[in-house]
Amino acid sequence: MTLTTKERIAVGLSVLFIVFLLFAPGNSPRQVDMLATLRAPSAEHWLGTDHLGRDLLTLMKHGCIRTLLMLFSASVTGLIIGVSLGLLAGYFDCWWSRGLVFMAEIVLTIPTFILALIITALLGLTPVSAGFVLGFSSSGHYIVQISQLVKEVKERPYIELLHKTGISHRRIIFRHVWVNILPVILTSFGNQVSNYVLDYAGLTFIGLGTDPTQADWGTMLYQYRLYLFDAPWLVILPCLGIFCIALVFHILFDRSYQSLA
Amino acid sequence: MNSRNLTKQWTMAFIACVLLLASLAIAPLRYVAASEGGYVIGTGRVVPNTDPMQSSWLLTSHGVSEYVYQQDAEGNLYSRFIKTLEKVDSNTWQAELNEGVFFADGSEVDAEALAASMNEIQEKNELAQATAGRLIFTADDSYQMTIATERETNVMMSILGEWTNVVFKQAGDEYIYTGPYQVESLRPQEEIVLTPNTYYPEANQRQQVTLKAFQDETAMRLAFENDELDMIYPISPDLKEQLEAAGEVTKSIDAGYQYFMTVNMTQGPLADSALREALDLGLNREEYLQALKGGYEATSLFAHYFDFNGDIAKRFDPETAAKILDDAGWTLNEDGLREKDGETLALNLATLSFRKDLVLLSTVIASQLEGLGITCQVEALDNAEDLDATSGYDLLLYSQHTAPTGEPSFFLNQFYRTNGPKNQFGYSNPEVDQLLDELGAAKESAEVNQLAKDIQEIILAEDRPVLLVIDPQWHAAVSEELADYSIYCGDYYIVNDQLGLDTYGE
Repeated sequence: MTLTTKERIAVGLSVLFIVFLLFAPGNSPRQVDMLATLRAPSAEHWLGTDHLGRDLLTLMKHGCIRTLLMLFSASVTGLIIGVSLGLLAGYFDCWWSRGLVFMAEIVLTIPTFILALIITALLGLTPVSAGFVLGFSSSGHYIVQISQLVKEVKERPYIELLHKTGISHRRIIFRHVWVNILPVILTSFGNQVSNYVLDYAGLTFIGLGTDPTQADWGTMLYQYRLYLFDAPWLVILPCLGIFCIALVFHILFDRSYQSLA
Repeated sequence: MNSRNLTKQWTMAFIACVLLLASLAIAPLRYVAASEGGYVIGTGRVVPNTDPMQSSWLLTSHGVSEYVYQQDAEGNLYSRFIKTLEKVDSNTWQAELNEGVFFADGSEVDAEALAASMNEIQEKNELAQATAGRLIFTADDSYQMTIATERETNVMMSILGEWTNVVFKQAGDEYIYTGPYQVESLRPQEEIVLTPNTYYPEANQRQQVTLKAFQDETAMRLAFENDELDMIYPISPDLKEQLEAAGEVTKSIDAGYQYFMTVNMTQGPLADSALREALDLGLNREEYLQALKGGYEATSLFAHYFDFNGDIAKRFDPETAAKILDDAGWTLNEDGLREKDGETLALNLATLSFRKDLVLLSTVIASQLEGLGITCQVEALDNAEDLDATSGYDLLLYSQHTAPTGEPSFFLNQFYRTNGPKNQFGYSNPEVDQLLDELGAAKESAEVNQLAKDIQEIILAEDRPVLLVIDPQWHAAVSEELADYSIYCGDYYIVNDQLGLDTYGE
């Protein structure tokens, strides 16, 4: 993997920002101080305070943790369901695998955001529940893509040869097929992560079923949108957080982007 | 590319730029012109339909329908329909109607029409029976009407002023009302266009009014600042402050609405009266005033200007609150959380997502509870009508106009009578029920006020099925033309019969 100097700087700064947020000092994100509202950055409040006197750094930190938690939940769900079923559907070409791909195509036709909106409204919106729904929704994408790739790899002569030599399906899949499709999975993963971050911000911005006292970046954007001109840092900081996470995963994992670059 | 083509392209680009600039220049003129054909009001909600059983409150708020009795700007009840109202015996009232009051189709609101309207509401909307049970209206002649009540009451004017009781008639699929405006067109929950009801006094001085629903305050603000709206109401305290700073005209009014927390005292940790008392002492109401940039500390269940509002001072005493929690066995663990028998003290708080003030306050309340060592999960709901004691919520942060009819019994009966229609968390106290019966039978206002205060004392200082939050003010921004326009009674009469009258004659 090679990155240009600009990309390295962008990734470096973004990672630095995320690490800074994760390890920054902070108290409870809910701690209100009505005597210290809309304060500019200071030694006491490094990023200032919001309209309720909450420390913005603390809110950003917890927003970052919740976003990463959602990302983990979504990635695990999406990859486990999508990759495993995609591998099986592509490798074993039979009625149930075709049915599986058909089902995955149906999942693909349902807009991710709408599906997530409905399910999280019913179940409640937490980073884990949102991650699960977003991951499940993206699994259709993985299944369709990976099954097609596996089919192509499976038709290669050396795979046929391995079959004839009596090597088990499991060994062929994990030793030979997997290696060939991994770069594409990573590229897809890089794109999906950006989508997860943006969708989660959208869900928390809308706020259906969410806890409005939690420090999600989308919730912050919703609450602070009125201060766009009077206290723009309130809006800029959550935007920056969303941008940095999406950018890092996009540059590090999206191989098609790298080849173009 | 030759030089002639290049010149031609530059010329076209120049013309395009000029046209663009010209269109931008005339755009503001077009927006200003929007108010010349009437008033455009940005608000939170527009009526979903014109059915009086479902939309009576919003229709009246829009100036389309009228209750039999309404509040004026000073909080007094008046009626355009009833001239005199007298109690004949314990369950019978006699009303004499005014002549010359008409529906928007020109037909008169006589005793027969009014009785038909009220009887249909009694039949189809059980909330209309909350205060005095089932009412039966009978037209004796053209302008005399008898009202029979199931339970004795002395507040018939207030009952007829309840939000269910709008005067209407049905003509086919269409509902016809009596308010200063009638519906010209309706896009449900989005926009309603109103034209003056020609049969309402001073109709020729009124103009067309359009109400537009805005879900997003920022969009409403931009529309107002671009002169597309003549009034926006209600707006958040922060927006009011920002618009003031930008030189716009803003207003603050006593909302009449009260913000309070209904307590689930039949299930969950708040079934323990000690915890309810601890919460009551541990909430710092001063911070709610700061967060909402106005309002009054609530001293009881009604707005501060009502005579029947109690005077139960709520002191902020976190030390005593902590001691009560300690004594109740909820001690602080090493994480700073209250714990008893290995279980941490956690509360679920529900509120209404469309009441932005409440969502803001929920953050402050969660912070204060955290300061007491209590974790609080907040959920903003689209509506809370179906919540009950089994729904898993310990607190419901709610807003309600507690005296829209200028008297206390309607609210107290709905919320605190055993099995009252809005007694969602199952509060029951026979002493309160007894006092509510006495309140219904009380005739003198001094007696009514004292009984109402006694009930509030039991509710707020002893049982605590509700925790006071704030007696709020609401805010509006208006164009200079509407600077003298008065909104009153919260959002009960956003469009009232005074809209535009002052300025029109000048």
